[in-house]
Amino acid sequence: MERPAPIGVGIQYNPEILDWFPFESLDVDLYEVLLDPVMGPLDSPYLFLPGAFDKLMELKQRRPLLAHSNYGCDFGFEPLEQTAAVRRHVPMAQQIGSPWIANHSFYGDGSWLDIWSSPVQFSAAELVRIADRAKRLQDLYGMPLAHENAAYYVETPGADMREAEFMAGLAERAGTFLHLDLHNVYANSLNLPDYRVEDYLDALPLDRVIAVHIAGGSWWNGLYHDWHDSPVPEPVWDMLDWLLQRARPAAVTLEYQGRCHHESTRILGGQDDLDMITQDLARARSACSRSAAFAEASARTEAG
Amino acid sequence: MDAEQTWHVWRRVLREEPVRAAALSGQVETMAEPLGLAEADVAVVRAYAQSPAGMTMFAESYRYRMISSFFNALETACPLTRRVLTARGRDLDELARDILDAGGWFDHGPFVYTFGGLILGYLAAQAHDAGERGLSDLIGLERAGIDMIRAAADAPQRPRAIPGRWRAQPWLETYDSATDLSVWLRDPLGRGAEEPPAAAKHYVVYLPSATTARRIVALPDRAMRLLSALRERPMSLEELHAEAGDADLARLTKLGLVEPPAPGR
Repeated sequence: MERPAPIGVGIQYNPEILDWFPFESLDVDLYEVLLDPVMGPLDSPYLFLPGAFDKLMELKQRRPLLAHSNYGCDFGFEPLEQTAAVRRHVPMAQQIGSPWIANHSFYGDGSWLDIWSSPVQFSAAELVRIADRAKRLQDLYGMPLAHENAAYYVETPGADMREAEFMAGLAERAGTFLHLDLHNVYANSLNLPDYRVEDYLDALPLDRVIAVHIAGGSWWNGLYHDWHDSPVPEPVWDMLDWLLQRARPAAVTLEYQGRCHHESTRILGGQDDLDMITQDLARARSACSRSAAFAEASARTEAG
Repeated sequence: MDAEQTWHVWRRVLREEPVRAAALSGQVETMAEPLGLAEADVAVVRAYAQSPAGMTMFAESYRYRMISSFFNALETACPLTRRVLTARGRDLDELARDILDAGGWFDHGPFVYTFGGLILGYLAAQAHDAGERGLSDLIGLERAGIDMIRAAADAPQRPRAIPGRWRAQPWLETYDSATDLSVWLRDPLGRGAEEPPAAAKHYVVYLPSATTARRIVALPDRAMRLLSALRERPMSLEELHAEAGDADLARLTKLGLVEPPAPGR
């Protein structure tokens, strides 16, 4: 499977903030679409929730759509063909014409809300099992499949390697790619002992990083949370600059959301938060403009 | 540690307060037998217990998301009932916790209509006990809608039309109401504020296609009898005329409740 061509800077199109956030007026190169909020439930005949596909097609008239799968449950233990990823996300990503798809490195099944606390076990045995599933899943998608690294407060016990080695081995064995969430790496470095950003990034096969997430979070009750409710912090900008000097991701996407994971998440809204998002977007553009890959993409866009 | 076993033990820690309490208090070894934890399970719990703050945070977030899933099921599977409950000042957060407690905080994941059906089952018992006839009927109607959607999920390919035979489209359910729900169905703002009048009505809830939202219509007696007959078996035009007039057939066809014959003999 070939690496996708560079697109640019995007924003996650999150229905949670749709009521106040003017997505369509932003200067972005793509919209990242979370498939789960628009997915037809598995006990319904719907592929997309009624009306959702038409809205996405309207959005697509403005910018390319990039599919993102959180609740695919593709790395769990039930047959791959029974997962939400195969039953829904594969046809959904194909129908919106996504250039690639990112999934998340969790365990999940038909009882799935615990995925966020269930990062895959970073073990040799799991690397082999999950890589097989990833390879088959990429074939089903028919487009590059990139695996997003998780933010977590507790690692799943039984690991016999570090997370970065696991993610590197997974992509290399499966022939798939990496969706590098820099804020998740940053959050883990704050919450987990012996988890260092430099070590993580150094261990990755950067030629397999095809997409990047950046976001902000919050401290609460002694832990740092990937709540997407704050400006992108300086260390994450530093990580992005470091990465763009060494890798050629096809997209850098910013994430903001509503109160999805915990009642203490700050609810975004109003001019201050709109300014925050537009400033983060501008800074992301500035960072990407210094990247050779995006400079080429930009030149192609202007020429075309 | 076997990954699958580790994950399932973690799910017990996450969902079962006694297991989590044993982990946090350092009592998992002594509590293993009453909690049904094997030796390998105890090792997993002990590993998680080394990060009590993280464990607790995960559990809090999980419960928060479960309550969100309740609201998602309400809005997706039974939106009319939701609006009536809201109009009547029902505390939906409290209701969410009551229903989740009753169900052992089981997570239905992507089976949203299944969860919606269970929510309506819980509410139906309460509405019946409280003598709320309008709400009871509305719940019955939306339960019929859920049954219809779930049946459509199991049979997503609609059968081909039959030459010479009219038939009811497969994705529909009927509900006979003792109250006239028209005001509640037509007026989103007024829904639930007043009890609907007593009046026998026939309702049909159906899906025109796999990309549209469900629709609800009321039918007069004769049209409903015709529809019920067609649900039992496809009929020729001659057989239909014995059941009802052209106007009833035209009405059902226009609504998309019956499918005309395929071309040919």
